[in-house]
Amino acid sequence: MTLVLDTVCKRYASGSAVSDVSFEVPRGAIFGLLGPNGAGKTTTIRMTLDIIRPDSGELRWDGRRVAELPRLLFGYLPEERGLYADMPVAEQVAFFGEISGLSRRDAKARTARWLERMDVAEHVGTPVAALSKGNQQKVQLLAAVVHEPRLLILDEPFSGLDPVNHALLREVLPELQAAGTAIVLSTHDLEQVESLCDALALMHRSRLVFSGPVADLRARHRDRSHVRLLFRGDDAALRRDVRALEPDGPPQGDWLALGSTDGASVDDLARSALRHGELRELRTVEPTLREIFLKETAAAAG
Amino acid sequence: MRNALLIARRELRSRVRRTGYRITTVGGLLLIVALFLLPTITHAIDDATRTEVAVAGADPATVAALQRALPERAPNGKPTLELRRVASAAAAERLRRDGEVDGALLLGRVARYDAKEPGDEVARLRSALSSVAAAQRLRRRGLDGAQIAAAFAAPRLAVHDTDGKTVSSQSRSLVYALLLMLYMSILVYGAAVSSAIVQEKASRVTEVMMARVTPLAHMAGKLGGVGLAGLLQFALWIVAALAILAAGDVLGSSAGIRLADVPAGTFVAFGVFFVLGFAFYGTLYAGLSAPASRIEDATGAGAIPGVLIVASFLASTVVLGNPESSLARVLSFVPPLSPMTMFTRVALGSPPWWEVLVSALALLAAIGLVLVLAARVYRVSILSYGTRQGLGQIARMMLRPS
Repeated sequence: MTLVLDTVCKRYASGSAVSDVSFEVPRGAIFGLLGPNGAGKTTTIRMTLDIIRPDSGELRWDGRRVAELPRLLFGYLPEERGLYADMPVAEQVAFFGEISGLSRRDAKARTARWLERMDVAEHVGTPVAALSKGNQQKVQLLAAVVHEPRLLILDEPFSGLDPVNHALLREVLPELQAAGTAIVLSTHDLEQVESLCDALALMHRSRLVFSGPVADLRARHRDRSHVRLLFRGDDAALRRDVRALEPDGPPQGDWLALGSTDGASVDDLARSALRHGELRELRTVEPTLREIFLKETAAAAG
Repeated sequence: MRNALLIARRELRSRVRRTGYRITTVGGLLLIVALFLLPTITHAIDDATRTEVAVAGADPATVAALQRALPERAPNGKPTLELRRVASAAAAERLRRDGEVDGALLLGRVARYDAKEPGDEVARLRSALSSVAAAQRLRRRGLDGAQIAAAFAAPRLAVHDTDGKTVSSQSRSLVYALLLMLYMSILVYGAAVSSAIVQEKASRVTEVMMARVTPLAHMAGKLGGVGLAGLLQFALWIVAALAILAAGDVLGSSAGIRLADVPAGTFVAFGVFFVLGFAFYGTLYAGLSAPASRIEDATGAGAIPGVLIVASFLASTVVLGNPESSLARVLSFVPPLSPMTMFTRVALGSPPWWEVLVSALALLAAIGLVLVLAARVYRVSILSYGTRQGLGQIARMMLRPS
C-alpha cells in the first residue's frame, strides 16, 4: 500500500504548478511534504485526492490510479479548515463518514467511537459554531479520519492548534500509523517533520528537490556539518594552520568561538588547537533541517 | 448519485432547522388560515354595512311585498336593505333618531323617506315602491295575482357563452395568488441555491467536500436540498389549505371558495411548474454564483436570473389578461418564461395537452443546456478564491471547458 507519483505535471493559466514530480510514499509511513509557499504542495495534494486531474503523469495507490479508487481510502484535512457551522457535532462527523462511503450505521458507530477517543463526546448535539475553537479543531480532524482512511493527507495540521490539541494530534498520528494508515503531512514546520516523519519530499517552485528517507537527506548534507570549538590562545597561529576557520558566534569571556565549514577533520583541528592554546569545547554540528531546507531551495532556485 | 442524495439530505435538514425557514412556513400557514377566515370576517363587515329602514303607515303584506322587491343579498345571505314595520310615524322617527335604524320610510298619500345620509338605498327603495304601487293599482283594477305576476314577469333572455371558457373573477384571483406564490418561490429558492453554494465556499467546506464528491454531484445535491425545502413548505401550505376547504365543505360554511370549485389540476400544475422553474433558475443561479468567494460577490451574479424571473412574471400578467390570445400562446412556449406563463394558461383554462407537453419539453431542453453550462463553470471555479470573476470570464468557462 504505497502512493506513487509518476512524472506528474499540472499547469494553470498562470503557469506551471507541478512539473515532473515523482516520489513514493512508503507503506505505513508518516511522510512529510515540504516546501515554501507556492511550491506546488496543495496542487500535489489535490491531485492525489482527485480533486483535480494532472495534465500528464500518473498518481497510483497500490498500483491503481487514484481517480478509480473509492473515496473511503482517502482522508483529508485541508489547510483552510471548514465545517458546517449550524450542524451538530455528531451529525456532522457522521455526515462526513457517510459521504466518504461508510454506511449510515457504520458512520454512526465510528463517530461515537472517535468522539469518545478525542474527548468531545459530551458535545454530540452542540452545533459546531457553539464549540470552543479547540473543540472545533478536534471535530475538523474527526471529519478527516472518521472513516479510518488508508491514506490520510494533512495540510498544515498543526497550524493554529492550541497546546492541548497539539499534543493530542501528536498522540493520534502514531496510533493511526500503527493501524496501517499512511500519513502525508504537508507543512513548512520543520520541527514537526524532524520528530514525526520517516520520509519526505521537498518541493520548490513546482519541482521536486528531494525525496526519500529523512536519514538520506541528512547524509546528503553530512559534508555540510561543521566543527565548532571554544579556543583560548594564539588564534592567529591557529588560523594559519587551519584555513577557513571563522568566528562562529560571540566570544565567551576570553574564549573565542570558532567554526570550520570546509571539512577540516576533527583530529587535525584538535591537534592544531592544542599546539597554539587551550580547548574547552569541540563538537561536530550537523546541519539542521532548516539549513538543509534553505540550502536545497536556494540550490534549486540557482 | 448516493453522494448527491446525501448532500441534498444534509442541505434540507439544515434549511428546515433554520429560524427563517420556520418563520416563513408558519407565516404562510397563518396567511392561508387568514385567507379562508376572510369570508367570516366579511360577514361581520356586511352586517355592519347593512341598511335597515323602519317603515310606518303600511300593512304587513305591503311591507313584505316591498321586501320581496328588494332582492339584493349580501354574501352572507342577508338582505342588504332590510325593512322593519313599525306602528306609527313617531315610532319610526324615534328609532331613526336613536340610531336603531338608518332611515324612516313613511307611506301614505305622499311617501316620505328620512335619513341622516340618504345613499344608494334611495334608488332601490324608489324602484321597489313603484313596482309595489303598480301591482296594487293593477289589483284595484280587478286583476288577480297570476295576471299581475304575468304582467311583471321579466322577458326571457337566453345568454350563450360562445367561448365556453368564461373565467370567474373568483378563480382568476386564485390563479393570480398562485402565480404570485410561484413567482416569489422561484425567486426566493433560486437565490437560496446561490447563497447555499457561496456560504459553503466562504466557510471553506467545499475543499473538504471536493475531496469526496464530484462537482456535479455537489451541485445536484445543493439544488435538490434547496428545492426539496421549498417543496416541503408548499406541501404543508397546500395540505393546510385543502384541510380548511374540506372542513368548510363538510361544515357547510359559506366560504368564498369551495373545494369543489378548485380544479385539482391547478395544484398539480403548480408543483410541476415550480419544479421545472426551480430546476432552470436554480441551476442558472448555481453556475453564476460558483465563482464568487463571498456573499457580496454573488449578488451581482443573481441579477441575470432575477431579471428573467421578473420578466416571466410580467409576461404572465399579460397571459392572465387574455390567456387565449396568440401573444399569450407564444409566451407560454418560450423556455425561461414558460414555468410561469404556461402555469397561468393551465390554471385559467385548459390549453390542449400537446401544447403543455411541447412547452414542458422545450423547458426541459433549456434546463439540460443550462445544466451543462453551469456544471462547466462549477467544476472550474468551485475551488477558486479571491479574484472576482466577471461575466466575460464565466462565459468563457461555459464555452471553452478545460
